Amino acid sequence: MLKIVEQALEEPEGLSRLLRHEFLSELSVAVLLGYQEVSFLAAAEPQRSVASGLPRDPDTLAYAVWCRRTHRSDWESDYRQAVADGRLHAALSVLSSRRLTEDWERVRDALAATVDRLAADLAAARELEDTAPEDAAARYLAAGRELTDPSIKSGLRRCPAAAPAEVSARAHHDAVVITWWESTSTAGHLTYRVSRGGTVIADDTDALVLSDVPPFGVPTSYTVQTLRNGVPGEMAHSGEVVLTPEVLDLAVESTMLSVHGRWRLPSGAVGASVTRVAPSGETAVITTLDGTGFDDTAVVPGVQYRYVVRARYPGRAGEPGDSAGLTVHGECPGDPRQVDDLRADLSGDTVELTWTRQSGTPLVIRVPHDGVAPAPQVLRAADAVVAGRVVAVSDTGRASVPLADLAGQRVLVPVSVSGPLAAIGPATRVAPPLEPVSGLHARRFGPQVVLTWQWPMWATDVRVAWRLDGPPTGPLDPQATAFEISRSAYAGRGARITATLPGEHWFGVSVVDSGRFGPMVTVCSTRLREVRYNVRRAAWWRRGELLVTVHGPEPAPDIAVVAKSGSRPLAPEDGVEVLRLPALGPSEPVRFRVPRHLRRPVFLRAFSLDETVTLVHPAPHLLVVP
Amino acid sequence: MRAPTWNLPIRRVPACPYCHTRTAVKAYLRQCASRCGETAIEFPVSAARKGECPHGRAPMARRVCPACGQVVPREYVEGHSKVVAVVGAAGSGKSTWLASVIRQVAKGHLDDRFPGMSLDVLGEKSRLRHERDRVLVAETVLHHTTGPEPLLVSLRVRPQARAVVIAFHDSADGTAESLAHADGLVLAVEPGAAPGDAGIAQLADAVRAARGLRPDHRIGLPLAVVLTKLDTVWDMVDPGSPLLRPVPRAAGYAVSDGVDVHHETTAWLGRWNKADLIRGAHTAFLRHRCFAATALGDRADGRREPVPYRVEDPLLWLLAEFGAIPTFRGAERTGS
Repeated sequence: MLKIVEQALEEPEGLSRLLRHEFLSELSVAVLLGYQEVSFLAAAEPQRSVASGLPRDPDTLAYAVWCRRTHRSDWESDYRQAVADGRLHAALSVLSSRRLTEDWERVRDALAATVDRLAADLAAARELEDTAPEDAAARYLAAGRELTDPSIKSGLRRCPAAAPAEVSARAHHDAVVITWWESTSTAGHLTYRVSRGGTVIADDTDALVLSDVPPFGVPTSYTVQTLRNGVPGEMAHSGEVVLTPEVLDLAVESTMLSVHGRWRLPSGAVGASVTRVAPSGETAVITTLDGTGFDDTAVVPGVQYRYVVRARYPGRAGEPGDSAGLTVHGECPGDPRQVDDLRADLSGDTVELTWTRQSGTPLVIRVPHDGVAPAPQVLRAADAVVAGRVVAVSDTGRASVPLADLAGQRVLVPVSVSGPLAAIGPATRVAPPLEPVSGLHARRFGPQVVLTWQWPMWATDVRVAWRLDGPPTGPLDPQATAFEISRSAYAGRGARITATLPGEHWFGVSVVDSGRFGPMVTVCSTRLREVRYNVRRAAWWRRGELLVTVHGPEPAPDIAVVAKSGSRPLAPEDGVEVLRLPALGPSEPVRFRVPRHLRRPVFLRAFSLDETVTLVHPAPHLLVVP
Repeated sequence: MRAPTWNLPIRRVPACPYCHTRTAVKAYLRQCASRCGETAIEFPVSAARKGECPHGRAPMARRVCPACGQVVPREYVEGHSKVVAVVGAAGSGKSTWLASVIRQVAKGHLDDRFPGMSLDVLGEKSRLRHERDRVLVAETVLHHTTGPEPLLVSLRVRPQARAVVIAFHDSADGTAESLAHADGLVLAVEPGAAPGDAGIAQLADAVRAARGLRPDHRIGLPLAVVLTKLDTVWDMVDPGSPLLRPVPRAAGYAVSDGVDVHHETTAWLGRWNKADLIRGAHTAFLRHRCFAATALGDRADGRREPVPYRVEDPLLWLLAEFGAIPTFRGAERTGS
């Protein structure tokens, strides 16, 4: 009885249930004596009702018990309920407390045999507890599958499952990972309970690994206890582990004279330590600003340093603990260095640029507006515009620029920028292919010839050479007259040449670039021999007569003087021929008349019958006969 | 050789280039500058005291027509303004010629004849329109429709000379208002157009109607008939023709060259069945002259830069008719 009371005390509400069972059992027995007895017994000890959690009213309690016992004639259901609950002893009591039929008697006897067998098993298990606890636990568990008995759980408690062989805890990122070996126990269903200090973080789990986020910077150990069918067994402990996260949002900025670092401290951290590592391996501890940054002024411009930033935690017994540390690089920009090996190569419609890369310094490729590159120099970055407009920026040592972006310019200037300074390096020129001009055309306006052509994409200047009676042998033909014209001059006023001598004038145009000449394209324009003539009135007494005179040292061609009413004749056949002068005719004035039948005003014009000669009148308005 | 003829311009009441209302110079309105803020007003030119607005501040230089409210450049109001109506069939090259001649003068291509000659496009509207036409000349030869707004330019023959402000009205048929107030006419004709009078009879009737003249009255306005797109017929022209002769380097209008070109152009127009045009111009206009020009030059070969030829001749003749530049008869004279 004392053992039962002890077990009841171990369970929540266990004693209350036990008292209730005892009280109700006594009341149930009193039912056999009549209702008054039950009522008397219920009212005699009201404190038992309170302690049992039963109704305080004795009449209510007595009536409920009376109804329960007197109206229940289904003892079989009580039996089956007891069997189903594993209360074999109670089931056997139900059968044993009344007269039974033969069938039920056989049932009672079988049940009694089972109870005896289980009692024997429990006794055997009890004997094995000291020598073979796993076997004892297995027997208890086997008996527990048929019987519900507090002694089974008590027995299991006396046979605890073995603890996990090894428990380890390690920090991983910002958490702790706990792992353990499986328990060597075999009997029953084995699970584990994991706790940190007095805090259970996982219960009745069958996993062998677990993650936990303990307080940062505090030494922490973990305990893993084996559970056998929920019954606590032995436990194992891990070693201590301290979680030290790194600083947050670490960033480094550089000025011309110092390197600045900034970060945020994680919770639990009390500061940070910074170590500077030079390229030579020399290390130095940098003082931090309230633990969230540093200003390192003892740096050499142009040298890249490595900074290791560790978060600091209080640790145990005043000995701080640091995190593993984060590494960043910082460098104060020094004076920019000129790029002196910029190379430009044409590849289709793209200019491929290459140069020796400088670490941390981007290279800006600029194109001067006027094609004149500034001298190499170091100047303020804002003044780098003197080198022209930007066509590419790269820090990889190579860049590609579409031809169209150069807009006909060919000079490329490398400008390396470092902080507020820029270094202009030696310019390079794109060596374009010297292509010929296209569509060369000559339009003659008397002695003046206007040349027109289409410029190749890259051409900025051409050389025009011309000579009489044959095409120029080349741009530098010594027999030819030559001049150079720029693209802008051509766009402004065109290419006009005065070639007065009669004959075939040949014009050759070739692209010129830095002393190199492209293929020459030629065109011919013929200047006709010009002969002047004059038409004037004859003396007043020769009314209606006109005089025509041909001037010039050279022999005149056959000439036809044509008259037309209303407008000027445009061809020899466009009017009435009023006079014809033979080629070797007199040089004196020749008299002629305009036919009277021609309606006035009459326009006169002399035509050369030799296609190589053209006639010119010094005052054409005098060719009108009113 | 006769001495140059100078016809000094006579000051007159200017007509608004937009509504053509003649308003005295002092009746035009001025505007307060932005510094006057919400108190800014418009006030007549005559109300300005010592060149200041009623608030005592310097007003804006531009004038406002009191009739239509349009902003008119001060140079137009106070200068010797002329109105030139440029007419012609759609696609005949009016706007192209106009843009080209302005470009020629503005870029100093006549400096060898008129040292220091300058031209400024007046007003934002005119600038926008000229820029559009300039781009059209440079990039394409397609014709386009122009608006009714005039193109105002200020032309100085010499650096110290008084500016001649010209309002070019460029339209296919010529509005009645612009014809009524025009001081000169330009009729654009293209070589390949259909036979006929190229609209000369319609133009003459419109001018007579706008000016209230009798149907048989010969119009006193100078008319320049411009044979445009000369480059398309260059190959037909005789090498000795004045249409293929260098432009004379005279510091004025060379009458002999002009007459020669006129006769040659007239002959070609007659050959191209444009006798009605010649006859109509001779019958309806007391003063007329034919010109041949190309604004683009040899563009058929795909060149991008236009090479205009003789585009300035009609303008120079009109300027000579206005008395703004001297005329030379006979031999050429180099400008000084």
